[in-house]
Amino acid sequence: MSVGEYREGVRLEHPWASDYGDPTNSPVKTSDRIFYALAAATAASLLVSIYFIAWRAPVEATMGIVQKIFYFHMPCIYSMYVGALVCMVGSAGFLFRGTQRWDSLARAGGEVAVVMGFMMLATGSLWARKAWGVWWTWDPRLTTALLSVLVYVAYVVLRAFAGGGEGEKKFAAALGVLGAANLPIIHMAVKKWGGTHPSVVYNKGGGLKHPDMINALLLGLFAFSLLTALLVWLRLRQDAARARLDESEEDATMLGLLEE
Amino acid sequence: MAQTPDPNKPTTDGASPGPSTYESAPAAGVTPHPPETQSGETLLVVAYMLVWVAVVAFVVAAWRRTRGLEGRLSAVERALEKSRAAQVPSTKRSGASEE
Repeated sequence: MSVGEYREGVRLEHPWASDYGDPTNSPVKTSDRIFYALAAATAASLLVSIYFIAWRAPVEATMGIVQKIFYFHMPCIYSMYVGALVCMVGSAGFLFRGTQRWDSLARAGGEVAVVMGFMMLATGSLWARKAWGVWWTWDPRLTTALLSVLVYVAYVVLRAFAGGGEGEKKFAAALGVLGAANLPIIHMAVKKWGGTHPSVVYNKGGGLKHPDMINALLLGLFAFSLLTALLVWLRLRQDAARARLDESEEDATMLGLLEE
Repeated sequence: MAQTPDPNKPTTDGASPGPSTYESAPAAGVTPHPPETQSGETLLVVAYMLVWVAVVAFVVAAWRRTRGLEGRLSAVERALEKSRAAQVPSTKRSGASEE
């Protein structure tokens, strides 16, 4: 039964609730089918990526087997950038339009940026332990990356505990837009300030020399692109379900079925 | 990784111990950890486990929250449906009496 059937002449269904798929409705909608297809494609691509990294990509001469961390470390960075950009776009959209759709998009992007950011820091730290002999060093790129992750942690904490008022949402949206300003600084940190962090992808004459190494990286990037899209969509579905619940509860309260 | 420092040589960026530190006797109760003591295989496995734990935790948390919302939504929908079903006969009765 659709929420839109509650009262004659009044469409109660949230206008954008079905856009990202409706986990509460049956039969299965087209958007749900696409969502589950995306989930299956993500799982398959991650498995192929792991196979390629473990069995096809050769062990690097200098670093040894620990270099294979890079094939997930780099996609984590990329996914954090994507999550942060989604957060920025959603936040900017909310500031201009003020609709729930943009706010949900920003929130989803912020949470994905935090998860991917932590994965980036953890995998990088493990690699650094072998490469540099330390878990952490205040290298310019590492420091700016940590700063960026902390900005998005602040964003998520703000959204979780500051309430759902318009003022709080606007403040969070401003943080979501300003948080993205640090992304180009992370990217340019190695060029501007040097440091010990290697520049593999843009390093002329260095980097990944074997074709299977490049393939492993490209597969990782593809798999994490799908994973990022899936996580953002999953979070949007949650917000869609909440929006539907809020409207249903409001309607039930009007009918005296629920207390205020 | 062309710019990667030699893994056998600790960097001298201040965070890692310099060569002289290794030559000195360690302080009481402190075990020195030169890079060679950390197995690359172990670090690789831990890194991949962390990635999967983080992804699975995010998915499970989001899925459980959605399920919780779904349960509450179903309960409210059932209540609304019952209320609507109860209102329809009374509306029909009042309409018939007006005729």
